[in-house]
Amino acid sequence: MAKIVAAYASSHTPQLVVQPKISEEFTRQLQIVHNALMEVGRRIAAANADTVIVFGSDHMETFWLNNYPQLLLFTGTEVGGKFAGVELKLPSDPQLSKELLYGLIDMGFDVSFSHELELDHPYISPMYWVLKGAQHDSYRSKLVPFHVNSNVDPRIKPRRAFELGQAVRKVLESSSLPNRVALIATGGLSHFVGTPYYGKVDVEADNFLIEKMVSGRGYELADLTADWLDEHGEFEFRTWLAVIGAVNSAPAEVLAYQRAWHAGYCVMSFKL
Amino acid sequence: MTILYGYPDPKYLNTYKLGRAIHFDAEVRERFRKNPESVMNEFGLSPEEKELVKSADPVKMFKAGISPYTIFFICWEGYGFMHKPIEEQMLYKKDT
Repeated sequence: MAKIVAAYASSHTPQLVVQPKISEEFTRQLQIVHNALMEVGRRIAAANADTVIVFGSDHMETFWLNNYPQLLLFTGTEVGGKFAGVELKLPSDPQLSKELLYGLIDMGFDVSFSHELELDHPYISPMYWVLKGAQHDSYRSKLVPFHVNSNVDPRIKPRRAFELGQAVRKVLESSSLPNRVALIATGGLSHFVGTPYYGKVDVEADNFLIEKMVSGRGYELADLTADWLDEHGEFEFRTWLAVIGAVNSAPAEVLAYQRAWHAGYCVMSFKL
Repeated sequence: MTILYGYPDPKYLNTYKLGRAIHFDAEVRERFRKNPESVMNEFGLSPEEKELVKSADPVKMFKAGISPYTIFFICWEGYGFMHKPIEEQMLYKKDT
């Protein structure tokens, strides 16, 4: 049986790696988030996870309008990408991802698959820091990206994202593979990139989500509507819901929360 | 305010292609900064699309129905908004 041994969620903004020098306060806030992400890396290494499944949400970068998937699992042998001068190249886990693909299809999730992907900032921004914390040179886990469409309408419903996570857990538990799996959701929290609301951060909505997760009541968030998520800048919370579903709404610990000028940056660790 | 990240209107496909090229291709990005008109012509933008892109006005582009991510690629990466002072990047004003 494959086992989920660690689970996290984090923001994934481009600014995490671009690090624009636009204010001392913002630089300080980014540093706090970097440190929290490196702590995630240290914890993943300490949990001896051999595979990291990352639920990310593409922004018309990895995928394009010639074929835009709702759900897509990477099934190839090696994955990577380049963003803002950072290049990521990691082995993946085709055996586990093939089991996940077939298992999820059996459970009614029509997941697309790809043996080849060019990752962009939704994966590279947080993973750059996570791998740094995990001392990537000596500790090398396999990376399995899992795209959950949160950014380009029509998008999967919040409850469906939660149920996807539950199904991922079931498939892993019924697997004969011995993998120790870490999960990471990327995206959020409140932000309004590319819209007239850019710069608004709905701290109240962030706190609402955080309190539910911390108290182990993340399952209640599966009832949120797509409208609510957009209205509060929480549209990428779909990836977080997948992880919440996968860990049976385990209580969470906030590793960092920073209300920056353009986003509520949050790094969360679930207590398994 | 409800859905902000809506269905990408196909009439702006060439603008989306331009935004994607600005994001991925440093050479296109550089040429766009120097001569936006010439790059817009390469991508076959319509007069309406050209006016929107030339405006460098994210709110105008959003109201016209262009995808927020294309707006980010064009304005923040193409026109370099990302490195401007915070108050110039912020579109949301509490009192408006």
